[in-house]
Amino acid sequence: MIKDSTIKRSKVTLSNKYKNIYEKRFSSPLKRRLAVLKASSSIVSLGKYVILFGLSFIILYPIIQQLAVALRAPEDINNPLVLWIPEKFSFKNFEISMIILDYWNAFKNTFKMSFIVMFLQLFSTSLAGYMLARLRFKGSGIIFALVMFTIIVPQTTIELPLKLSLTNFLNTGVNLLGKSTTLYLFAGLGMGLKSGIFIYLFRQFFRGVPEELEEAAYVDGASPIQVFYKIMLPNAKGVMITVAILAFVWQWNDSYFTSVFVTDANVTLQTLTTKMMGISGNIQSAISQAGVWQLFDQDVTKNPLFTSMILNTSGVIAMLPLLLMYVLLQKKLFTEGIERSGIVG
Amino acid sequence: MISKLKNNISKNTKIKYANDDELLKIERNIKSKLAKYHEKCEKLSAKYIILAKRKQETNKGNVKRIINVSRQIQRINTKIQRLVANLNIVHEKKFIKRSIVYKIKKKFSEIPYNKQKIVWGIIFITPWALGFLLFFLPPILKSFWWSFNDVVPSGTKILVNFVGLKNYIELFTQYVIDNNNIFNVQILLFVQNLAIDLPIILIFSLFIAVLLNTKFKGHQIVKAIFFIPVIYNISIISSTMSKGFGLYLENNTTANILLTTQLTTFLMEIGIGGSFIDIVIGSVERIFMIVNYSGIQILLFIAALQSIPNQLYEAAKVEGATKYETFWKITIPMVTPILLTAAIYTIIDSFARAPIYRFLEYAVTESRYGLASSIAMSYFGINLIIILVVLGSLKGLVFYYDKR
Repeated sequence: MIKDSTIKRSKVTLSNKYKNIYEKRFSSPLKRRLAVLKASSSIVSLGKYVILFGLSFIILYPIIQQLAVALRAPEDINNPLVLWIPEKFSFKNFEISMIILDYWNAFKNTFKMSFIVMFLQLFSTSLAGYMLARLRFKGSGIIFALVMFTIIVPQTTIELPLKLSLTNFLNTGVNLLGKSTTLYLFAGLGMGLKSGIFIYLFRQFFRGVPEELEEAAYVDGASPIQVFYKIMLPNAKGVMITVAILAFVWQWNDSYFTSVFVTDANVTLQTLTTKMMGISGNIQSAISQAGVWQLFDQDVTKNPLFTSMILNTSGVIAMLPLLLMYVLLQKKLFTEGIERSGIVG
Repeated sequence: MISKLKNNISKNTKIKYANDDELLKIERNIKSKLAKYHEKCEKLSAKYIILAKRKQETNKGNVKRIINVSRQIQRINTKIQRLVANLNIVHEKKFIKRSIVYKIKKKFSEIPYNKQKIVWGIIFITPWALGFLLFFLPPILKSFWWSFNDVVPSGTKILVNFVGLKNYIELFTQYVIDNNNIFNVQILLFVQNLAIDLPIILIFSLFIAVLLNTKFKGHQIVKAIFFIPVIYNISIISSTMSKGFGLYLENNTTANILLTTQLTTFLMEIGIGGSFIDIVIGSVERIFMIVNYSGIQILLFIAALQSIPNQLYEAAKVEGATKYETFWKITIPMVTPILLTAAIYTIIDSFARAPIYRFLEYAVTESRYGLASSIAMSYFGINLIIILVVLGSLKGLVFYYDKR
């Protein structure tokens, strides 16, 4: 018996092989259908990979480019052979940009502002969102409509009168314009940068929490405030993380809001972004003020690409802390944040 | 653990007994109250007896009223009991002084749950309401009023002069800045771009979210990459990409140009022409922009996809539905509410980047605040109109799983 089978196997020719495959995969309609399904799913997954990784490249392209530019030595500018990968790696550009941006001071300001604003935004928007979802009373529909209204109205619409009223706040003669306190006041009173969107996110989340939970707590004798901080808040971790990150990042990247209402941001309270915006207009004079022209040969500094390179590097180091934080936190963000945020339309 | 807790409790509630003077006062107070309640109780019980008798004899009168009266009597009786107990405590000189906070707390916990909820609701919304009344409502009303006026700052004061619709008429007919920047044209271009971008961004982000929602090798990394545009500052990138080094690199790589020319010739050869080509080429050229502007939308869609209950898919699978069918009949209807949100967010977000700031800046530097307000108001008006149109057209599509 054993011998027979070995003989059979050795006699398998090419046509037999195909026959075997046919019998295994295509002989019955069910098998045919399964084969088609398998093939199509593998094609789909291939397409998925191509699209996702291609688009990932598009997203990463500017970062790659910026890093490639930032890491090259200034002397490489005049070398036409260097396009993407620098011949000599150096951190000279970083040093120059740090001097120009007054980096550590600006970093400290930015971090402090973003951090405080993040907490204040979380506080005011989570309270308002919970009220709109769960502590409704007559007229709360109007409040929600007004919140939506604050989202829709562009900041520029109210910028001018607001600025004028802040210079003499409520006719008390107090000038609120210019200090970072104004920003904190806005954030703490739910009128900060995109606060309306955060309120909306919180409302959607709290609406999705099953009502039975609250009823059970009520039967056990909990008051509304206890329901809020003992049941709702621990459940709201996902949406909290999402809102915290968005508030932090948007404040970090914001140049409009900060430079309009914190006029000191243009002089003493410089943040990385406002400083970056400030120097991008007149990079030439910024470099000459920092006194680094003399460090290089004339053929380097005469090249118009030199200023562009420094500007590029400034952009990189303005964003670098944020990117590093993101890389460290991203796993937490996705597993505990967005996917658990439970935001339902 | 328990001993610690007990310690804590004894620390927090230091028992303070009232002294003799206070005791006298309290005693007098309680006695006067007791007298009052006794009087009331007698009155009510007399009333009760009359009512009950009438009911028994003539079968007239409302039963509910009788029950009500007896309830009132009961309530007063319990109050009297409590006061008597208090009086005993006072006689034993062990009356505990309570802080005001404790009293308020106790009073508050006696309010029914639903009313407590309202009180907390008002407390919760106060920060926002304060902000709204201080920093939002007055400026927007002022802005609205100024747009119908000639507003000129003179010294420390501001001169306001009613002129009707003059500002708007000037704005939409003849306002030109920087020699060739016409307000009308800019607005029209912006709205046109938005009309093209909005569906592309929505479809694109939904598509990407669906792809990202499945598990495959490296999905963590790809997800992380797709969220980078939210983190990264677009304005810094685009300014460095389009000028200087970015331009230099682009000119030397030439990949982009090749792609678009090839695509154009391909579309021409298969017989598609005209404006369709423009849209396709435009969106290919804007792919960078579209990818970068759809970070939040992808995030919203992923959250929505995660919240679709799994039993729906299981039921569909048992019934023999294919993946294609489940996508169109379960996934799409379940994410439509978020589609609305994402659409509105896209509109607002693109308005925040609209090229209208330049006009505003120019009007302010000319110190024509009235005109600036009319620019801001018309900007807001167009925003509102577009949102209403989109809401109206998408409303029929939206499906709510649990109607609440």
